[in-house]
Amino acid sequence: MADDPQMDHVLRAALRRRPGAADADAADGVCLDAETFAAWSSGALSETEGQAIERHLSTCARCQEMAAIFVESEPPVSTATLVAFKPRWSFRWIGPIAAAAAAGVTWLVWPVRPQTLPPKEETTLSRVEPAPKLADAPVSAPAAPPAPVGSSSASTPSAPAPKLERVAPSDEAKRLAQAREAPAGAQQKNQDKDARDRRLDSRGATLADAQAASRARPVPSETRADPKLTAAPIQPPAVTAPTPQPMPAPTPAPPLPPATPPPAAGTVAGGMGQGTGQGAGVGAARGAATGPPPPPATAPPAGVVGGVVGGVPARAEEVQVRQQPAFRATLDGVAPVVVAEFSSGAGFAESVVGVAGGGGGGRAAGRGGAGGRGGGGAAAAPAANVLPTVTPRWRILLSGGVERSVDGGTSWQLLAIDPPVHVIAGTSPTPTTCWLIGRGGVVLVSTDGVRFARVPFQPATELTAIRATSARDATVTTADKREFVTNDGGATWRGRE
Amino acid sequence: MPPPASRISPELVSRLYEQSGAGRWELTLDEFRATLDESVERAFSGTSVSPADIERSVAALHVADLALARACALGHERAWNAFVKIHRSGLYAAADAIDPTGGTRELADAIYGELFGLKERDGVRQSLFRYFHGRSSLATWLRAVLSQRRVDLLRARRRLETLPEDDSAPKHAAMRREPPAVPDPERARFVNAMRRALGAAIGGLAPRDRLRLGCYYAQEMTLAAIGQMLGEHEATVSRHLTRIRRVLRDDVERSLRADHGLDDRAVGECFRAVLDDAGTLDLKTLLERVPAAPLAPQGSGPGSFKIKKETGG
Repeated sequence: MADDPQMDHVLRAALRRRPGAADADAADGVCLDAETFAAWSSGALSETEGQAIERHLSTCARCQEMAAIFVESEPPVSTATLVAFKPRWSFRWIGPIAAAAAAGVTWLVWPVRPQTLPPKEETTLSRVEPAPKLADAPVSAPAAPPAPVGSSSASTPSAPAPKLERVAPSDEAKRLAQAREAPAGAQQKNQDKDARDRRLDSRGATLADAQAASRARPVPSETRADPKLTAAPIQPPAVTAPTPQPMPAPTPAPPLPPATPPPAAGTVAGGMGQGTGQGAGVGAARGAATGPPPPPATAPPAGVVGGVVGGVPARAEEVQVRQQPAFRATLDGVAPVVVAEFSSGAGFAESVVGVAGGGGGGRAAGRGGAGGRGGGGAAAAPAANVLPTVTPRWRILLSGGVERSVDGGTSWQLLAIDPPVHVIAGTSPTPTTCWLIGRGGVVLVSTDGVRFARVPFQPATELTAIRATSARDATVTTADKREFVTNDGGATWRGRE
Repeated sequence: MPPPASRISPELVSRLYEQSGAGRWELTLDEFRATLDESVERAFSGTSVSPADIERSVAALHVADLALARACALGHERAWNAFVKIHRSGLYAAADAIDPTGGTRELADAIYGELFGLKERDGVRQSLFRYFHGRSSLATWLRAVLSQRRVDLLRARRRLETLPEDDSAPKHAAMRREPPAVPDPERARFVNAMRRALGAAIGGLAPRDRLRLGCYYAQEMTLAAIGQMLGEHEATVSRHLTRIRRVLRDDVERSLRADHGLDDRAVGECFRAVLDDAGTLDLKTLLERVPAAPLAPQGSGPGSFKIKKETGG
């Protein structure tokens, strides 16, 4: 206790129970019977009765001990209950939804905001647009160069998620090219169009930028099929060879500047945060560790993807086009409920329900130059030195299964764990290392990212969270908030004070 | 000798009989009425209470569980099957939560035996259910019984344990001093003064504060567990403990100065002396200085109750 450690130690030394010492009973010699105690614990007694019970409990070591055991005897709430996905709408969401809708409307009708950052050519582009009108509404040529992503999504918390495939890429690319080549007068003329178009353009690059950039690289056709994403093929680990992932060559598309060298950037998806390298996406996950130091000023920002948290679709969907295929997750298909998603250098502590392919958290925001916080947690090493070109990603389903993606989340493959374990959380300190915890105090570790081995863990108790910095060093948290640490790959565990 | 007249109106009994679904367990209306009477008698034994208070008290009973328990106690097979189906897994889950290694399962099995009534007296099965009067749910009562058995078992074992090495050394090592080469003649005085002052200060706390203190330091319960027991958030418990420590320090220092005539240096020595040789200031010792307060307000109204030396449940 930080407030008065000396008094804390004095009390601990003076009051703690010593083995072999005589147990003190109540001063009055009578103890609570089970029913009275049960009624008191249920709050079924009157105030007078409750005070008398407390007076007795405060004097009786036996009844205090019984109370302690009684509290302990309450079976832990299963993780599935804790993170249960509620498909039904509740009235309590009306307020937040109304507020979000009002904020969205305000954002739509508000005049163009001054750009605080100088416009510069960026390859990380984003677009924010309501989904229903995306395909039909003509997108005007941008009046200004694409704004940095950092100024776009951070202040736009909610809106319907756009569906990228509904935009004709060729038209968009043409418009973009025309806009970039247009003289200043033409741009000014375009600014006289309706406010909505101006706002859309000023908030970042258009979707055509993303499409054009995507077209500049070969993107596997399967990555465009959203239903395939949501119904990712479930295959045994033996066939979990990475999906052909042609890494984009920095082909300089005419309207776009040459792509910059690949940053060690991660994405935030599925409602989970992720530790990143230079430039970090901040997701909704609660992470303990901060990300690596801020990148140099010239470092381009990393993009993030909008998504779903708690079953509520986030507003923005931004597209990261540098060195990663465009994220095309949609909710068209029947998506499995994901309780956790993490990738290398990211830790995941507590589950948040999302929907596969949903993307980042509600506050998903690109923090390009800022770097700063990784959303995930235990990012132990600079990602630039560790992460491979494609960072493996894992996600945990509500059903307890674990899926792995080696193509940035485009496709997912179910990993077979034998004997089956209902996995509840995990973390991946390195691209090939993944720690998982399951119900019943099960701890699993994989050093190749595919095959998981169960490691012995004592005491046998429910676990709620795990952090790891390597294949040997991990820390688990039990349901009663104790922590156990291993430094030998799970062979031995020791409690942490 | 005819049974005493029921203090519960027949209409209320009929209504509660229907509400409890006692008919499912082949419990007759008279048996159910007798069960309610026992509950009322236990709550208002020897007191005169208005019918309205009795009605309010009876209406607050867990009558469905009460009917099931009585039917089980009477040996109705359907009720027993239902009880096993509903509550057996919960009892085992509670046992496993207490001891994940399965050590408490034996207690749970033993409780089942007692619930069924393996022992007979005068040809009548003595079921543990007779101690259940519906003031809590049956599941909560079962957990309380299990906890009671568990604590009795632990206390019985504890008497036989050998004394281990003092395990407090690492925790308090930073605050301890090296033992003086020459025994400090005043040390014993400091320790006694400190114990006396600390005992008085703890005895002066409000019962709930004393309960928080005991749960945290003596029972080593977590803040979350204490909060769960007292219906508070663990942050609230933490704040209360901080306040209690501050109050105790103020009281102890005041007492040491005023009652024992110690100066600042000596007060500091008292604290350090307790750290060096704390002994065990068990609650009973501390609370012997607490003015005796009536434990159970007998007959003080509808909420009156008795705390008996429990025997079975």
